Amino acid sequence: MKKLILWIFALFILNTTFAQSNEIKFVEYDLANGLHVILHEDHSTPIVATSVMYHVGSKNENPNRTGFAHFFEHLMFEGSKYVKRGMFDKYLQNVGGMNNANTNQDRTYYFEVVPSNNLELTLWLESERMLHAKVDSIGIETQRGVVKEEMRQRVDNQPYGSLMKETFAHAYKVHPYKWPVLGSMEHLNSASDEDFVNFYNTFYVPNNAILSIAGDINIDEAKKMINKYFATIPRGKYDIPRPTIAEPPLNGEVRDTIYDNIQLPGVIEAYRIPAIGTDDYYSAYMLSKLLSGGESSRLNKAVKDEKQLVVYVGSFPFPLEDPGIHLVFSIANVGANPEVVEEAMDVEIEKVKNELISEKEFQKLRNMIETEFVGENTRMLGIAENLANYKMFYGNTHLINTEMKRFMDVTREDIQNIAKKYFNKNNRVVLYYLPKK
Amino acid sequence: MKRLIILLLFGAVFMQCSPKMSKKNTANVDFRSIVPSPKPAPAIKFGQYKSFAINNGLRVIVVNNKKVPKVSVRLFLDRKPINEGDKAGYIEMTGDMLSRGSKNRTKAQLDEDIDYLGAIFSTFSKGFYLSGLSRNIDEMLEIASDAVLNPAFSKEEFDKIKKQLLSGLAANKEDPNTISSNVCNALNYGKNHPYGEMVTEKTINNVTLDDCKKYYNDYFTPEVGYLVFVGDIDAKKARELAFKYFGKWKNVGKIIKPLPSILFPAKTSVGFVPKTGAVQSVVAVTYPVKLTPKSSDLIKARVLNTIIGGYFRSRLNQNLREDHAYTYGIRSSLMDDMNIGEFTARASVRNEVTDSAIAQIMYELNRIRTEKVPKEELELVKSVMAGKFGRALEGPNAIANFALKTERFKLPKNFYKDYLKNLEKVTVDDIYNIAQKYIRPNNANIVVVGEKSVADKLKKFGKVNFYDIYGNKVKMPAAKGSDISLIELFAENIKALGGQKAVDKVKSLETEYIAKMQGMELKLWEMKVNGEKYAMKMDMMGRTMQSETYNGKKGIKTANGQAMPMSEEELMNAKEASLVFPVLALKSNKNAKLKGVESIDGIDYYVVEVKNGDKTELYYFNKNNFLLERHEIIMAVNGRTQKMSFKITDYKNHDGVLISEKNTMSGAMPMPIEFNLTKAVVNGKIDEMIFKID
Repeated sequence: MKKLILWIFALFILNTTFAQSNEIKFVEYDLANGLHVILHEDHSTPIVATSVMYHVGSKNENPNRTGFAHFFEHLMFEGSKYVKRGMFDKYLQNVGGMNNANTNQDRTYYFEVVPSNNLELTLWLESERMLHAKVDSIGIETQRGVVKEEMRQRVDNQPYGSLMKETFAHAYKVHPYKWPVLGSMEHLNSASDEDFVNFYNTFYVPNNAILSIAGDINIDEAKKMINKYFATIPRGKYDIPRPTIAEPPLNGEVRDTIYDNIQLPGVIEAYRIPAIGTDDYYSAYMLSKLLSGGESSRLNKAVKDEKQLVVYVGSFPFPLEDPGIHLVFSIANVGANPEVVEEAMDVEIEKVKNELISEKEFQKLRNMIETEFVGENTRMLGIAENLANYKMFYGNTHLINTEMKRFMDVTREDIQNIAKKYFNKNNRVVLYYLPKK
Repeated sequence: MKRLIILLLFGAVFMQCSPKMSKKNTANVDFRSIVPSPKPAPAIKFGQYKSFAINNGLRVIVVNNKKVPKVSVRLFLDRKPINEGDKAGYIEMTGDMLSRGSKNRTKAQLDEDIDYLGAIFSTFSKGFYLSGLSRNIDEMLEIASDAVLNPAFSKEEFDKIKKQLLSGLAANKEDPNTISSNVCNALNYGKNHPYGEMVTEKTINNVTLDDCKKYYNDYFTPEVGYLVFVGDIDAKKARELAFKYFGKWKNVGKIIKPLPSILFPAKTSVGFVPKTGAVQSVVAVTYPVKLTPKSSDLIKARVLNTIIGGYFRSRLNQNLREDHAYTYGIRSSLMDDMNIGEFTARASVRNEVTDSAIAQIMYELNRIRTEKVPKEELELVKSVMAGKFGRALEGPNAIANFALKTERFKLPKNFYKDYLKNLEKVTVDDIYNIAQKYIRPNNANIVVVGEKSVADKLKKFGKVNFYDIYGNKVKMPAAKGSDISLIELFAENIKALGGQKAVDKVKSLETEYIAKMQGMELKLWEMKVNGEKYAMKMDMMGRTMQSETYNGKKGIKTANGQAMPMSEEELMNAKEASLVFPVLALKSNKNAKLKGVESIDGIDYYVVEVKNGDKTELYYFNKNNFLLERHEIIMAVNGRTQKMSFKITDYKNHDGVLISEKNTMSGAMPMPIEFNLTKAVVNGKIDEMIFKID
């Protein structure tokens, strides 16, 4: 049971991060080729986190070539002109570093954490990735096999592993969020090597990326090194496609049942909500705290503790660049009927719509938000990512220090209004996850 | 995940790749072709900590770090392990109880107060963890100390915790990794040792609220405690708070019984836990070791283990995963402990390679003892470990953990400061020497959880003993034959049911079983006219989910209101089901075979197997009373092996024959479902309308 719940937390790790009280100082600038650079200097630990965020995710894909963005995350470890196949990891391990990457609907993110005397090594590797990546048939073939295994592992073999895929597929009809980040194996199989090369030349260009570095660096030295490795990388030659299509309202509840290799039934409600950065998004985030932040939250208290219907209940808005969804999600207790669970969840949501929350409960939410975001930016890797995020999706890196105000501007009425406006049956998807026979 | 797979594919290629700077950097060499060399290594800076004790012996550690206005407080009671015996679980439950209300606050109030401050608070049997904004630290500690020093121990909350624990156990019972870990502990330490005992449904059911209270009163005591403050707080303030909120906490001074001694394996043997229908075996090679946190071998031992199975490119992972593709991953651990340490290497491997995988593990364990580790491999491992250590130092929590360990284990003050220096000093000969001491392939417990049929091939590693999932030794399942023939067994079963005459007299049998689950009632009704007709109906909350009707010639089945005629096979099955006792069907089944005797939960059963295509059915007849007490169905569903088990118990006399009044079904659903007999009519009046098929 504990394992299961931990896993659910892992599933919903959110990328959003918010302001806090210790000011994060940084410098930022553009190279002539359009690469945006953000540097944060902090000498408390002799390590440095280097990261590159490319503004390409699954939503930038051709509908007949889904899975490309994620596929590239794999391909980008294949090596480059000067980095032999398989050596990306090895160079980093040899100096005691770690590295990884991840992809979502909106961006692809690569990062390394190394002892700070190896900053140049990470810049060299990332510049090779941006300029010289090996996009050839050997790598493509290898990674096709790997991605296939990954789909099996993460989607087919994981309890509730298809949850995101199913939720988005039911919540969107036209917007590219409708297909999963992992995409379609068929599309990947039928793509030509040229398709992959084109994707690389379109999206893996300095003018579509942010280089964000945090840690034990000297800003002037770092700038020199960055210049050496990145300044001569040519700007991209192609327009970067971004989806302009707006998803029309859901206009009616969508319901479905998914049979999965699970032990306990799951009940998922997904409400369509606005994009990150909007006032409504901040209100939705506060609402999610009201519903499931802490043991005294509405859903935890009523559905988990008092009625003992679920082993887990949570709610969270997905932080997406285009209008997204807000999940309210339960894993039922042994023997609990999913319909009863759904009803109990809905009772709590209706209560928010019908009664303005008390001043005291509202203050609790503000206190929780404050505590959550004070101290959010204490690790170099997190700071590097947050800086890049604020720049890429909000166009304002300074939010790392000021975003708190956006939360504090939310009123009690805003929370009630957001519930009334979006948390309605005709604006939601309801999925039951039931054990396969 | 992706990274793992990448490493899987390419980790095998070993290339010389230490970064080096080309000496000649002439104009015709692309600067991009040159691997940058590292700058001089930075000095690792260690945060400071302060420690002191207050009046009642509670020790306080403070790591002051003002980077953000937050503070965390951890209470840790460094008590010795305790034997819980047949009430295993009560200590963990006590820990949960501490956040479930105090004498001054209900659980709801406690949650409300903590959440209002935006704080995080959780409790354990050995203390608590609390974190929040430093400006709230006073209020936070008031709540936390109230919770752990004045616990309410309410019966209602106790019952909730019990229920949750039981659900968790039931969900994990079939998990082969859990079984492996439990049985390894039992074999390494013995079941009477705190490290070897096991929490089961039975032991949890033995726990009373008073057990929790007693544990709390005897052992939740300050003289073994550490209160660790980390963050935006100075030592003076921490001392004040510790005194204010924990100064009145009284010492108990209860002595914990010394631990039973450990028997180190004299030679390697195999403990086999049969798991019917398993497609993978969980194999473990494990044994206790004498390695304490104070040992001067500690750093060397960590290097040794990292080489063997402690990082992705370790020898075990290289061999079993990359070279042989036996497993998705294998790791080993060499754990230090104040009482007794442990070496374990564990992996899930495909059934058919169980013995080969063990052979490769043993090969690697022997190799590290007989061949010196190549210098390059040692240097790589040292570099991996140094990097990990350096990264872990980020943030004040690392310093707090070091401080706590330094104090608890009375380590040299500079142990962690000198860690990298001492790591660097480890030599090829050191590894060779301590491998002799800590790697003991000839004195190990090999524990395998898997399909019984693979057990035969494991004799080459040592004597094979069989265990149940609780770590109790069970009799070796007879490979062939038993002391009884199939015909004799069936005759005995009929005798047990009431005798041939009584059984012959049963012409029809109507039964109804009801299962109650939270909020739902499941009703199973069956009508059998011996060998001729059969009808069944399954209702959930009064609605018919499924039904079957067979009149001797035709049959229909309905599911969710939709009716369909039965296929040939289904007609056969229905005819078989119409027999009033399972033994009658088995008697005429040519596929029925007597497999032997198997012991489950301490009871010996004759096992009759019926194989039919992908489907295998096992019937377990109790060796003592010859009643059919278990029934298992194993079949492949969508390429996956699924198992359904029935425990058939509470046989009672109904008109001269024994009928089971309780059927517990498990396997297809998250929790076992218990069906209780609510109606049994032998030779009642038969309403022919039941069997009418349009």
